[in-house]
Amino acid sequence: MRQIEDRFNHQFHYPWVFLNDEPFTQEFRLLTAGMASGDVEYGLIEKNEWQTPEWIDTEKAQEAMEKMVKNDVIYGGSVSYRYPSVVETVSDVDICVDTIRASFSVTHC
Amino acid sequence: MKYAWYWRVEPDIDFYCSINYDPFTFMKENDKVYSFVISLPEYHATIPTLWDTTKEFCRENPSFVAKNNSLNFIVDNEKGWDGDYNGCHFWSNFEIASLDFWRSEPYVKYFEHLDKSGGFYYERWGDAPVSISFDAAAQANSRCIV
Repeated sequence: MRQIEDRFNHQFHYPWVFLNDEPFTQEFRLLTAGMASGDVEYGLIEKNEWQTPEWIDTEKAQEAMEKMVKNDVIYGGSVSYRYPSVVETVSDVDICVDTIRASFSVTHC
Repeated sequence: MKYAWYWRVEPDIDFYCSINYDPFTFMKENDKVYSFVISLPEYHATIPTLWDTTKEFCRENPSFVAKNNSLNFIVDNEKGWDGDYNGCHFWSNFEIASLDFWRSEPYVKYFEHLDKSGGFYYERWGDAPVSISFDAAAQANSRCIV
């Protein structure tokens, strides 16, 4: 974030948006707000947007994951890896971001 | 909608030089919707049925497929719809893109089609091959830039 501000955003002051599936701490907010040259927003991905949809057969999904783990498929056994893939691809979320690693995006109106 | 464009910022990245122009403005003025840094092949074991599911959607919705598309980028030997997906995808860890494209009717319908098919869970489709499978079909090939 420091580098993006120093190398780019100090000239343009675009807002930052941070998204996570749990609330950001006060410390995180203070540090990031202090570094940003534009507005900062902190978003929470609601639990209902972060769950396996009801039409998915969870047993079948579990079996598929176990098979992928056996075959050493990268992230094959991670349920949580699947949610950001959905969040990132779904279009009613304002911003696409890898929420698992709490990465962030500078955005533009 | 509040935002029309975004730049995905990954933790632990480095920028070695200053960026003295505005990529958002550049993309808007030059009619681009997606920017990326590198592309590389996806692990086929994570997406066994993604291509068939994509083809099925495009067959059912021919109006969403651009004439001057980029299928040759993701299908080898110019085989078009008759060929297999070569796995090539934009690495989405760095991307600057138009949110209006992701919100557009063709992409929303495409996503719903994929989501209903269950491949995110029964396989392990990542966002990057999903995005490009449709971008390549739906975008004129001049609209994505390196």
